[in-house]
Amino acid sequence: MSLIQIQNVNKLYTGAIKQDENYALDMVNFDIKPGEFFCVLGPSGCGKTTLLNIMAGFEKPTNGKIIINGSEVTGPSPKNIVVFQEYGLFPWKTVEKNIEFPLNLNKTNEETKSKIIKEILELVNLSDFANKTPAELSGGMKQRVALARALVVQPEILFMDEPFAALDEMTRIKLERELLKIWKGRKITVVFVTHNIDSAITLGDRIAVMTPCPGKIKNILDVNLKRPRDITSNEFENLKKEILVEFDIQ
Amino acid sequence: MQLNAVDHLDLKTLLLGHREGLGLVVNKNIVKSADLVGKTIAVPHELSTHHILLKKFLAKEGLNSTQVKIKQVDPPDFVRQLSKKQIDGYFGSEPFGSQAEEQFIGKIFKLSKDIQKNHIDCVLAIDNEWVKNNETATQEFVQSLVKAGQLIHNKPIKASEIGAKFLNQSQKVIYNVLAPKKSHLTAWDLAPISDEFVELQSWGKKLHILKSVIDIDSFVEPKFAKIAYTELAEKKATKKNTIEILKKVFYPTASFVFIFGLWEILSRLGVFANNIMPAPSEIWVALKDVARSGVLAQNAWASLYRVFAGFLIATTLAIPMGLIIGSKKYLHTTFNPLIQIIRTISPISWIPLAILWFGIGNQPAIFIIFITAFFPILLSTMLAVKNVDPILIKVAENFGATGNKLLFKIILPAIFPYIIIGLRVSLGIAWVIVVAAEMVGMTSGLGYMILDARNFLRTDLIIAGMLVIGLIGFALDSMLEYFEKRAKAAWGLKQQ
Repeated sequence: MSLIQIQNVNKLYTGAIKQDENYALDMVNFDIKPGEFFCVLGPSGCGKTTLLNIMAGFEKPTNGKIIINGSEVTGPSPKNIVVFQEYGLFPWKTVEKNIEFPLNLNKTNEETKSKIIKEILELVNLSDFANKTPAELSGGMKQRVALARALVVQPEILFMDEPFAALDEMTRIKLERELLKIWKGRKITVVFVTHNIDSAITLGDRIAVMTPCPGKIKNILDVNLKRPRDITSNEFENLKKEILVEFDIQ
Repeated sequence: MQLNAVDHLDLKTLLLGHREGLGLVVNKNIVKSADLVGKTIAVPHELSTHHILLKKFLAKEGLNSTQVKIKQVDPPDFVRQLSKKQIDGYFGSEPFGSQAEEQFIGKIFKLSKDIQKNHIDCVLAIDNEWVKNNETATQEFVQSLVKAGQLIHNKPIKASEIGAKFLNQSQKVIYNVLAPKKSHLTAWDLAPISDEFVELQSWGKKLHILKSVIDIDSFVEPKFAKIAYTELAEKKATKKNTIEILKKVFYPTASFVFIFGLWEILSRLGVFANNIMPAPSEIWVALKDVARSGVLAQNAWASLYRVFAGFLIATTLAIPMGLIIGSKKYLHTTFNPLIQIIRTISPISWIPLAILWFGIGNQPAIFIIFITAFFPILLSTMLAVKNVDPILIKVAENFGATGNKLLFKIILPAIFPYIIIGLRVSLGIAWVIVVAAEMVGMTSGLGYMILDARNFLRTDLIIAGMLVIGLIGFALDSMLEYFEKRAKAAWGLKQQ
């Protein structure tokens, strides 16, 4: 039933002296359902990025384990792709070549490759920018390329690490809408890490509220609002208040 | 401009004649707007821009059309009628305003630009059929008018001189119209914009001057003006570019001329003893001698050969080693101290060993250059690998790139610009060291040539050799600087 199971995950970081030891993650437990849009919401330094890195296989937990599709995560996999805040585009490759990179690795034949690239460029509205280099693009466009590159391998899970945090508010809202469309259309599971309460409420089916020192899941809230969600509606405001209370604000 | 006149004609407006440049001229007795009550003001035509702007002005001043009498008069007759008091003022085009002022017949009461900034007035309108059949000629004509507009804007004195010949007016009157700062009309932007015509027409309607309106879009054709202004902008850009390039060549040349000129003068004045510090002209003679005899080329080639050979071997070994050591933390820990110690030993101090190991000839020199170039390339590669953006590696690993694929598809291209920087630095040092090495144990090369010249007390030849070394060094560095710039641009890195 669950796609991702996070079981008793601890992450201990050791500093230069014993006293510097601290738990970035402390006994984290929860499950994510297939097809769910799951948001992890918390302030900087609460361990949400560490948790995502562990789920994606880039880091190992000190204790506990992550189980995806029934088997334990031991390293990164093309089935679960991470989209980073810093885009992670290869600066020497054009938009098209960036998107082509994963397809070359899994030896897709030329014909299928060009078809996939064409489709995905249309999906993220970048058809006219195929031959530009990342340096020539705006932040929003760069993140579109990163998203397109993640999608070409048809991942089961999309891990997104504050993907829109470096963008302006208008671009962020626009990209969030596009992301929701893609999520619905492709039936993928999204784990979306953010510090933006509006983003979490707009996007998530559920929101895990994380608090720092040590990094803990304080609560997991269901978002029972119909999509598309109106950020100016009362229900939205009420949920926002509820979340602020979780963070001991207000 | 008379909009309604085009009703039955197929005319196209291709360009504006000018912007602004109208004005209300009145006799001396009128000092304030209220004085206009009961007076007669002339306009060129009932359906003219002048009429619209005059009415707009009167409305703004709180005067209605019954209080001021408006009469239609031919513009050339304006000044005469005003002087004979047949009218009390007129709303006319320049130069009739400035002319009245110069002859002390009237004064400019209000300039049209103060009623409506940047308003349109005269236009170039041509029969559409003719335009269609003569596109090239039309384009040329529009282009020359745009150019004339630029001349008026940039050189009003010259323009007024030309204008005086054609307009039957004094140059002073025309200059007053065109003069910068107080200019009554402008001509730098003559592109016709539909919206401005629509606005003017709606004012005409509002002020009950126009009874019907026309479709402006079929009346205005901005494409010829657009082409003319685009070309103008391009020309300006190229001109600016050419000036920039000339500056880049001229300023450095000036510095050379200054230094060598000063040196030459001081030498001729006898400030320097000739056998210690010869004049540039004497060095030039010595340079020509060695160049003609082939000695210079032979020695320069010997030095370049050693540098390239040593540099090539160093590059082939240092880059792969840097990649491997830089990408594995334990290898870095193991080898870094050793590398750091060896690199601080001056390559020159390797010369005795090099001669013992390789004998006399090119090999010891190539070895010295190898030692010189190897460490900067190795270290810059190691550092670059260590500093590759970890996100790029994460992304690659996420898609399943590991081992060699990661190394050659991601890390190597990621560090490419930094490798070029390392190459540039090490080539610079190699060129410095080769001269020194040639002075110690070689019998050819530019270093040897200088040393040999000293044995014959040929200071002119010594300095000639030094200058050649400098020039070749500069050429080598410029070459790699070019590659560095290209790589940085392609990688989207900022230029310093």
